[in-house]
Amino acid sequence: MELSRARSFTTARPGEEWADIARRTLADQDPGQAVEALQSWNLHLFLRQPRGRILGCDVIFTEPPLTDAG
Amino acid sequence: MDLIIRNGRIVDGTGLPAYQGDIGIRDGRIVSVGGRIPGTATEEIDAAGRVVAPGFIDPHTHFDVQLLWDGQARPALEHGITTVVPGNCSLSLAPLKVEHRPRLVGMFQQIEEMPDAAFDGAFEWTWESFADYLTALRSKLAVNVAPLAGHSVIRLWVMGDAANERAANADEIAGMQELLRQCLEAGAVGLSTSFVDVDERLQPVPSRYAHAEEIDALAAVLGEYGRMLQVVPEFYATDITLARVDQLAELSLKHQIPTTFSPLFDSAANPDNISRVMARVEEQMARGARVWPQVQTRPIDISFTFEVASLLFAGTPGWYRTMRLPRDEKIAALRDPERLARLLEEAEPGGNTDRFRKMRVRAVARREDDGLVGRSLGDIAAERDSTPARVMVDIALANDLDASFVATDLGHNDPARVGALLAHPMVHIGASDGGAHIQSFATYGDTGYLFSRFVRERHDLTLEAAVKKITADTARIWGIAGRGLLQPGFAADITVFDPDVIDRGDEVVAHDMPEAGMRYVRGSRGIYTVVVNGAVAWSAAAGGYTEARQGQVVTR
Ligand SMILES: [Zn+2]
Repeated sequence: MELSRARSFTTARPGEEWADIARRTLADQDPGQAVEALQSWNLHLFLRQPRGRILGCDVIFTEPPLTDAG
Repeated sequence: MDLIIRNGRIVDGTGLPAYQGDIGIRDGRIVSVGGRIPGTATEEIDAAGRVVAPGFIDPHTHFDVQLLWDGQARPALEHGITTVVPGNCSLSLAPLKVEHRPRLVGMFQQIEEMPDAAFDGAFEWTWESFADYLTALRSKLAVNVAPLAGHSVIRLWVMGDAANERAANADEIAGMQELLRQCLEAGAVGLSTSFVDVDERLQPVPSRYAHAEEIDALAAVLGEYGRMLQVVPEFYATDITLARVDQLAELSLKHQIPTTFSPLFDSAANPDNISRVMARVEEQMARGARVWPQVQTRPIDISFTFEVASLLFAGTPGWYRTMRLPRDEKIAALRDPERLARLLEEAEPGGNTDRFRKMRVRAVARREDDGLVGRSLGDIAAERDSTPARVMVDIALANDLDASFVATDLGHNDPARVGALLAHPMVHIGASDGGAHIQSFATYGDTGYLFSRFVRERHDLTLEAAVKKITADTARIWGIAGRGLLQPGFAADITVFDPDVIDRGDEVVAHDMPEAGMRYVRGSRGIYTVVVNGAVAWSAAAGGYTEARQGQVVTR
């Protein structure tokens, strides 16, 4: 059965930081911009201390929120 | 026969219409349902005019500690609850090495708001393994227990301090798998994990350091036994909850296991949350995944004092830090004009008084403040030409911190929306948190509230549907065999109640904890008899709790 489209996400692999995840999930983008974009979609990880720390279980969105049309 | 319950209106848990009949019980099991049973039994109960239903099952509790000194899980039993699931939210009392006990107590105190008194000297800590914990429990049980093993403690056992630092390596993952296997062999009903909780140092609990590979490996072990995975998702953020639904669905399909996440709340601040989450649950269930959202019946009300740091202050870190100070320092901080000004700015940024305005004074120590009880802080502030947060501090200080407040508009309180959600066939009614947050709100009586509010008053569910939701459905969802239905051969877990009266009582303060510790509780209304494995464990006619200790670990 086909699932309707949902906002895409990933989780970190052991040892991965923002740059690694950006490289893996946004390979076709400029690396610096990719990290910036990735972080902007995951502000929930910046409300914690230390800010932006990635835990193994965290959901990391790899695109912005879907619009109603999406 | 040992026991016959005569002339009752039998609501058997299937959801089919109620009917008149007798129920016969022998050796802890139901042997006859419906019809008129000839002869007499050792004990007979006249249930004329009352409903006879399977005992209720509470799938989300933290009775782990309380059960060690109170095998009746008071006051859950008097509400008709005959089986509880402890060990939720990644925390269980086993498996746990001696040297990790302080860590677990810290996590329990932080996450479940259980005070020191619940642990100090209230029981003898004799076990390390899951099997030995269940042995320590067994002789005391008046309710049945279907215990979860907690991911955070399993991780702590295998990795020690590194459990709070890093990913597990292959050996450690294998170690956790083996340990989980031992728990399941001993009688664990599944594994609980948390993606959101923090410990007493406000650091993430061990389960949050687990990568996908570790969770998948543990789910694979659950698959060997067909057992449950319970998770605490980021319930405050819909997109993340949706991602969790998808993750759970993949684990469910891959390993053929049931999964459940709790809580799922309705809130006016995020009105699309439940419709979006339920739409995804429906899609995933249609694929054959088992992803059960747990929804509580009661609105969210939180009571607090300035004596302890309530989770209500989690969103205002300055207040939270202040509340965690030793008593004298806390009072000094609140009396210091500069520090108080900073706190007030945090509570009422730019003069926005929304956070505390609607909260009400619940109780005060000083006679002269009696007139404030029941009034809103906004109302009192207007009268005093002050602000709600400042008024709250003034009242707390005037009463030497012995004043309590209550927030009653925190969400999940729109009866039409919650009623429709509870009636949804893919909603699992639960998430009571029984035994936790004991100084913030009463986590008891949600089943009574289901009947009074959503069956009797609003008709969101029929009586039969509501009973099914908290008995047969729960047993089926959790793989608890031989319970949840009134059927020959099933365990005689039975609740007799008056459908016109059943309700939760008022929330009151009780001092029935070890060392006279305080907690909020609710009594029951309209419950007549509660039978656990054939023995009357609570009876209104007999004056309440009995000596019966027939509770079992139901997964063995
Ligand atoms: Zn919980």
